[in-house]
Amino acid sequence: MKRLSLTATCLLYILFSLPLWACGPYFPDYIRSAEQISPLRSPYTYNESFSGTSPGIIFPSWRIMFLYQAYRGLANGDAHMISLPGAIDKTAHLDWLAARKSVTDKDAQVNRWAEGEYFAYFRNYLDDAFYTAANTLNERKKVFNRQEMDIWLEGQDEVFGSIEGRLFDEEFDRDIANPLLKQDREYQRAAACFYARRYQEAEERFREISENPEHPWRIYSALAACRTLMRRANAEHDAELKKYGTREEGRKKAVAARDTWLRKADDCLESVLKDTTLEPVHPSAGRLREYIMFRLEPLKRFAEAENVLLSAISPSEIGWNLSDFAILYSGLKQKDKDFIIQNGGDFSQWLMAMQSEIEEPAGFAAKKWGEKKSLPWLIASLKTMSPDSPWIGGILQEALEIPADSPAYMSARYYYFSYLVKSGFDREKLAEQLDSFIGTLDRGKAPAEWNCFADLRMLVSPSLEEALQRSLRKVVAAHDDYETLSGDFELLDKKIQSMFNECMPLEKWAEIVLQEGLFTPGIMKQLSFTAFTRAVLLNDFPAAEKIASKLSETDAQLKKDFSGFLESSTFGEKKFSAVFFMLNYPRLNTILDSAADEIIVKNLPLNIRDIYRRNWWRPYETSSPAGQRENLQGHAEELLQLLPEGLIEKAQEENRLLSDIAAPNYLADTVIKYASENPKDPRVPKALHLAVQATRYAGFKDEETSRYSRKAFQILHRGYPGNEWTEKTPYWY
Amino acid sequence: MKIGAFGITTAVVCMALYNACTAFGGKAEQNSPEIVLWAWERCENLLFLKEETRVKVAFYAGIIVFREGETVFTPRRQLLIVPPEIPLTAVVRIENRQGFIPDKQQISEAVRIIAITCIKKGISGCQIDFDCRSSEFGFFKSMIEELKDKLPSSMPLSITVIASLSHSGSMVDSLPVDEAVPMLFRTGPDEDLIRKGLAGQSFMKASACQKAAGISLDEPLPHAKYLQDRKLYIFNTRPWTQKDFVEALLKIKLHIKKKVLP
Repeated sequence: MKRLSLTATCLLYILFSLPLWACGPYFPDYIRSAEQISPLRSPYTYNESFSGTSPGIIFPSWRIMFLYQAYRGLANGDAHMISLPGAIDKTAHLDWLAARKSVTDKDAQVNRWAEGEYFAYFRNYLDDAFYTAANTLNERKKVFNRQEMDIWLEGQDEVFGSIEGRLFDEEFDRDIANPLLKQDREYQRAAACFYARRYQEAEERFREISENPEHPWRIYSALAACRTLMRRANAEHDAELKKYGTREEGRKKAVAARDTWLRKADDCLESVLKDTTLEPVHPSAGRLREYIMFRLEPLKRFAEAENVLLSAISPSEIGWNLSDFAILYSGLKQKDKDFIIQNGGDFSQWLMAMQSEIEEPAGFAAKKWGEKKSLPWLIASLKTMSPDSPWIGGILQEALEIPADSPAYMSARYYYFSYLVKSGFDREKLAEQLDSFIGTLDRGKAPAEWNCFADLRMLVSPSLEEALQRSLRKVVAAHDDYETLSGDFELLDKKIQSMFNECMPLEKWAEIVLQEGLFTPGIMKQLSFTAFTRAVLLNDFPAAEKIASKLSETDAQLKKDFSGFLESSTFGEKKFSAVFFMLNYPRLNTILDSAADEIIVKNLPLNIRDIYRRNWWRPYETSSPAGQRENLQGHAEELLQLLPEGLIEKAQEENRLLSDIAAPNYLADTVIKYASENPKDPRVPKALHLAVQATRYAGFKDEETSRYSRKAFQILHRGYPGNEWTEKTPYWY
Repeated sequence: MKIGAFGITTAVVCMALYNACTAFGGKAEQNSPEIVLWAWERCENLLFLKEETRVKVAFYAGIIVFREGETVFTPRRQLLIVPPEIPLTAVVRIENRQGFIPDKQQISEAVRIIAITCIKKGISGCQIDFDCRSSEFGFFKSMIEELKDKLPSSMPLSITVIASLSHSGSMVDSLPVDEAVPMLFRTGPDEDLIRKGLAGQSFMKASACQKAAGISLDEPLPHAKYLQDRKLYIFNTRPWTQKDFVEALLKIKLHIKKKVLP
């Protein structure tokens, strides 16, 4: 049974756990845009107060346990806790050790894992074993004398594998006067056999105890005998595998052997359930039978688990059935969708409808809504509805009538508006409706929902300016291994970032960054630096000057650092001065990316080198038109139509030019050329030093980079011996 | 002239392909690099390695998590089926999730667990997989030193290291390990440099990092010069199959040959 439990636990882990990533370093990914929020697997990532009655917008990407809670909230208006089985109670063995300490000073080690076949381990002692032992110890303390207690404890230590003693010396028992202690030791012996995987002997001993109506362990032994058969099923499975190999023949024989023993266990449990004197263990026996059914009759178990889930209240009952259901549902969804469509219950059918990209089969969700008129089906039909659906009018009307205190409210509105956006509904009217709805939302309490509706609103903006004004999103979560988000931060919508990177030429960047107060100061600054970098690389110095002047207005350090650039007159001097500035500001980039997000959120200085080499820019990888549309996350039509004609083509041409510029080569080359013509410029030695450094610390290099590094190094050392910057440059790279 | 150049190129490519195919034939032979397959926490059936003489397996044997002052060990729970003649290295993954450096007691507990896990019949090597941050290096060093004392002298102790720690002069060289395996995958911003062979003269030149390299099948291979004449640890994001194995060997062999040929 415990191997079965282990298997289920592993599967649960796979189903419910977050993915694990190897190695590092990891960089934060700030979640704010609808296309980032909607694929998340847990609503708790951004909403700690999630519950079935307050689910927010229900997304089909959620793990089944959250979708179940949402379903129950929609269907019955109830919120239930779920206690998932298999969760490891790390304190169970500590409870035992603590109880044990109350009667002895001797330490004991407990290893809850046992080594199975093929280098795999399994959890040998489940939590209930420790709880039962601790409870029994506390009871026996009251009735046993010191010597009896020592004997009992010694036996129990042997059960838990801590020692090897006299538990199996039945001669020794003859000298024990206390009959309760003798009976305890009989049970301990059976249990020790069980944990030592001597299953035949364990079964015989448990049966012997269970047949003694006077024995205090009779009831538990009756159940334990069945559990022994279940464990044996797995042992026989592994033994066959070892004997016949792991190819198909071996696997078939292994499964056959396992199933034979599981059937025996099932018969055993059935007889326990029929015996009314064993009532205290009936719930456990029922659960064990469910395990067996999971293996032997998965479809039956699937239907049974779903049936329980539709009305269960107990957290453990829900958890127990949900874990089996989730595993079986996932298998069926991949292999036999028709079974769910034809034989599934309301929940599994709803799940499948929600998780389908399109209505499948056509009109399924809408028909269900027509039959049931229930909230879950209203949401599912709204989410998947096609414009030619005959139920369209009724569904949309119904969605609007959902009251604000309904758990379906947010989802109904979101999928309602999403449908209208997708179906090309009048943008102006839709904008009005969305404005009015967003006005009722509390951005502070439900930022993720607010962002999703703001996203829709942005998509129906009549102009680029308005879309930009509506592109600020509150960060709702940060994905990264080592840091958690603290504080409120705003970033640009991801799609708008893509538009900047791919669809806007420099003239548009410059126009935007020279405006006042369009975005937060942090975002404006980052945009400005990026626009400045683009302007310099594209040799558009007038634009670069305007941007630099604006940046200098409010920052004394920048004013000083830009002064060389702003005051220079010739093209060569201008370019060198711009490059000198860039060399001093390694975090300058040509695009808005996740590193730029991190700079904004953490207010990182751009003139400090990144230890992870996210310094300067990488050659721009131009996207194909198809790639551009992909980056706009399915909303290319809505967003691209906001751009004046010819803008995208111009942006593409600029990006093509940027794609040829390797940062360290460009920086070093500019400095080398300027140094040869202006060797007396006092900035040159430092510029050469920084150029050499750039060939080491830039995030991108190519086969030419070392040549530039060497050249800059040689000019520095030959032309400026003894200079402090020469001393600081002992190597080229 | 053009035809001649094309002909030479074709001949070179054919020769490389022929050599690669005949050298392997689905097997790692004497002239190929020593290969170690990382077998992670999933059911792995590696019986197809039966006749391989240059292949070893490093298997995930469990994870030690330092959490809230406790040292929690979860051993491997998935079957690992390997031919008995294949040398095995037990890999213990370590994660520090408690926000502070593990104390002496936790180090001792971890060392005891690792030693028990590695000193087993059929296991000939021990590897520690820990993404060590610089602030954790002191603790890591203490742990490795204590572990080295506990392991039999005949058992090689290996560690995995992030690529950026493989430069000459790296603190990795102060560890008493027989081998440090630079992980040349999931390297973040350095990915491009590693692929182009531009990660610098000192890259992978730490003494401990000169014998091996770690790669993953789901990423393009690093530059050949970082793989040549090294024992190669290969990570697969899915359970190993014979097809994956054969293809991986061919890919590596061709990759290395292509770069070596003029």
